Amino acid sequence: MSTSAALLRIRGLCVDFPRGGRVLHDVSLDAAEGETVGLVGESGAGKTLAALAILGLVPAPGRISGGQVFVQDRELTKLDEEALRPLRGRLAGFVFQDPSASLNPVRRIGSALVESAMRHSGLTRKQAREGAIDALRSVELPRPESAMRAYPHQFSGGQRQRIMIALALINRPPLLIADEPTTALDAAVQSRVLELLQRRAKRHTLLMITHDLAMAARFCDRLYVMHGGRVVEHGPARELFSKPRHDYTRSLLDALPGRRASVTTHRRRRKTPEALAALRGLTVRYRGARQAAVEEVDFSIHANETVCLVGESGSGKTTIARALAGVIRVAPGQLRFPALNEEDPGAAARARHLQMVFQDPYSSLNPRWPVERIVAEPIRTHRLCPREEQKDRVAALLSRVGLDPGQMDRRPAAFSGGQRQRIALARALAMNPRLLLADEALSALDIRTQARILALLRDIREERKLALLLITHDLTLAAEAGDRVIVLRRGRIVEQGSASTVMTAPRHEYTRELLAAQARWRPESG
Amino acid sequence: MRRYRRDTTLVFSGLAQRAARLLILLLGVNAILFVALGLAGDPALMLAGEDPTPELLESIRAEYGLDLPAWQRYLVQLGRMAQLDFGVSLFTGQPALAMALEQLPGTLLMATLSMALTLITAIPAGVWIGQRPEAASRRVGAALTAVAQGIPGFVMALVLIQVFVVRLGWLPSLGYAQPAAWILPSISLGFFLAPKLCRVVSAGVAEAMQEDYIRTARANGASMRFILWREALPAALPAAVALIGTQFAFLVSGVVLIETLFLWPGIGLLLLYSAQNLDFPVLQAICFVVAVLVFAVNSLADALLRLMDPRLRPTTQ
Repeated sequence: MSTSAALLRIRGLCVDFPRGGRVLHDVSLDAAEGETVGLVGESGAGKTLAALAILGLVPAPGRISGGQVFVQDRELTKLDEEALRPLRGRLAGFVFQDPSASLNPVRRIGSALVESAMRHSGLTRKQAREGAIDALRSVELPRPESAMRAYPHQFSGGQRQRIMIALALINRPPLLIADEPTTALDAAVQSRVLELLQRRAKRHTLLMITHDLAMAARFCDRLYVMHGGRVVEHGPARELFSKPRHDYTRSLLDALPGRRASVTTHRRRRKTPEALAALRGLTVRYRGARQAAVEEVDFSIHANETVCLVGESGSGKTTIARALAGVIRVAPGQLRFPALNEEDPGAAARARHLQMVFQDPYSSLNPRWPVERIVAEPIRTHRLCPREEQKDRVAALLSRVGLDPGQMDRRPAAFSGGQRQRIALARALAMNPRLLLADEALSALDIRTQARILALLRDIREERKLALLLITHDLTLAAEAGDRVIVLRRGRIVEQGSASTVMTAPRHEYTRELLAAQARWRPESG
Repeated sequence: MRRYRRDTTLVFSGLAQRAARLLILLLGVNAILFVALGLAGDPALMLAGEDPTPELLESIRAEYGLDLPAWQRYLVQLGRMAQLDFGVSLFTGQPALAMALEQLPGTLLMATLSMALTLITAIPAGVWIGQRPEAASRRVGAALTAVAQGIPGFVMALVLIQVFVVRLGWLPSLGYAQPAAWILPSISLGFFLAPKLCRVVSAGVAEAMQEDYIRTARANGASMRFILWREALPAALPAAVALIGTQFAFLVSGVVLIETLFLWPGIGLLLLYSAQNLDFPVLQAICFVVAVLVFAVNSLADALLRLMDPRLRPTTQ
């Protein structure tokens, strides 16, 4: 626990916003030299704000209204902007969530690094340049000299995060603050970036902010759990994981994939003979692309069944979804809907047969329309019921997905991410589809919301005898949600089978790799 | 890491394509002008003076080739234009293109001065407003630029003449030879672009200030000054350059107005006289010069844009 050698000490920190009131309540936190401390909680819990407050970076118009922050026994909350500026980057370096947004797109990597190194130090440009190249080398970026002249968009997401880490460490701060450093990255890249952070953490004190409790438990020495702007529980990671004291921590743990109460992976169901969609050697090649996006993919989906398509980005998952939805044309015979009794169903028939829920609940709903109009849109377009009944229909759909029909005149901005996904689901269900396609529909949600939406999807599938095609990059989630799991890599199916088989006895090397990449940061079972 | 083509090839890439576009542009301008001038009137009437006899008109038409059918006149003129021969002025007898080019330096001088004025006022003002657009003082600034944008440049010129020349007598309004006479025309012409540029810069800076990379810069100890000029402004500049590129043609119409008001010896004044006199060859030559100029500025802006925003550059791969 806290010792006198604490590098970072936060005592009773409060942050107020003029209109939002108090958002951080009496937060206290310690991090000893060389220690890795995790700050976990759902989005909106105040984790990022607490970290930003350490060096007085609370975004305007918010302000620190109480408490103290010590770094190396130096009190920081009393310092003004002028006094704090030279300390930023020297006492603590930040790695932010989204590396593509956190680097200026019109500036070269080298100039960002060199200028940060020269700022408040006596270094010459030449020395700073050498330091910058060393920093890039230390984060294992290939060809650091030529990378100095490149711009952020020339790098992959993982490489950009490495550059962010180099930038955070360029002034050798004793404290490194990583705010959801891997959330925006693919599973395989995630683990490599985390390994890098772990190696670097040996020489630094690391404050790790994440919503992923399992990853934090593996990665950190001690954890602080935040909820509603307060620290609700803290302690050694393993202890907190095995004996959570606070209800909120317990609910977070229960929501972890694979630990949820209603694990149903072993359920077997009798397949109905008729497939709702059948892919036979589906091959899609985008114009100008050397490689096919999807090649020779065979599978079918039956009523009352959940099929999960799993793979990293670029594996062809979304291309398959687009082919099913009819957004891209496919060669005749490669995609059939036997239930429709037609070789090539028209757009209207296809829409009634198949509906989609998309990944981003923020951009897939028209922000200017009230919810009633959003959900009623397909009903009106396809004249599914008389005008007078429309409102009742929308109300019924909204209450089915767990929303209050009394809120139907509000616009999407009034709803949270999870609620918006429910609205999108209601809109999809308005058509009475037989096949529901969810393209990363759970990815943008935190784990507790994820668990609730997944349960809802499962209920609705049972009730309506739907076929559910879930597209995800998260193998653990797929195993929990799906009867069958299909693993895609570079447009080809590398493995498919029942969820339990794929999880427990993966045959293909790539599946094992995926599992290992995701399991590395999950706690051991039990 | 994806790599770029060499920077030199990038600036000159598609040079042939650009040349073809210029050719099409010139043909179009020429054709429109030919039709428009045909509708405008008969230059023979202007040349013949008062009460011309039919015989005199005939001889004038024959001399200048005006008696030929329209399509023949068009082809003849096109053939000459291909050799950069626009004929001679109907009034002075000098070669038309030489007359237009002679006036060009005056116009370029004023354009350069007013562009410099525009840049040194609009960019700092835009940065200042964009830094914290919600603050009261910045809102006043933003409102002023909006009002300024609504004032036509020639109205501004008339007000400036009234105040500084007529009332105060501080500055001359005419006379190309003394630099003091350059001030008012340059300021007036600057008014055609500066308010718009200021608004684009302030919007761009305000948007950039909301970006995550500004937070990164602050977390690295950058000063507000550095953040504004080195982080936010570079992100806002491409939009400003694009504006200048697209607004340049519009600026040319401003040049005509301002040169007329200040009797500035430039291409705009020549354009006005030639149009009044239906001096077709000179008009054709002026339009040719202006079209090439506009095209050159647009190409320059495009090239600059690709230098400023690396994401627009083509990558090899």
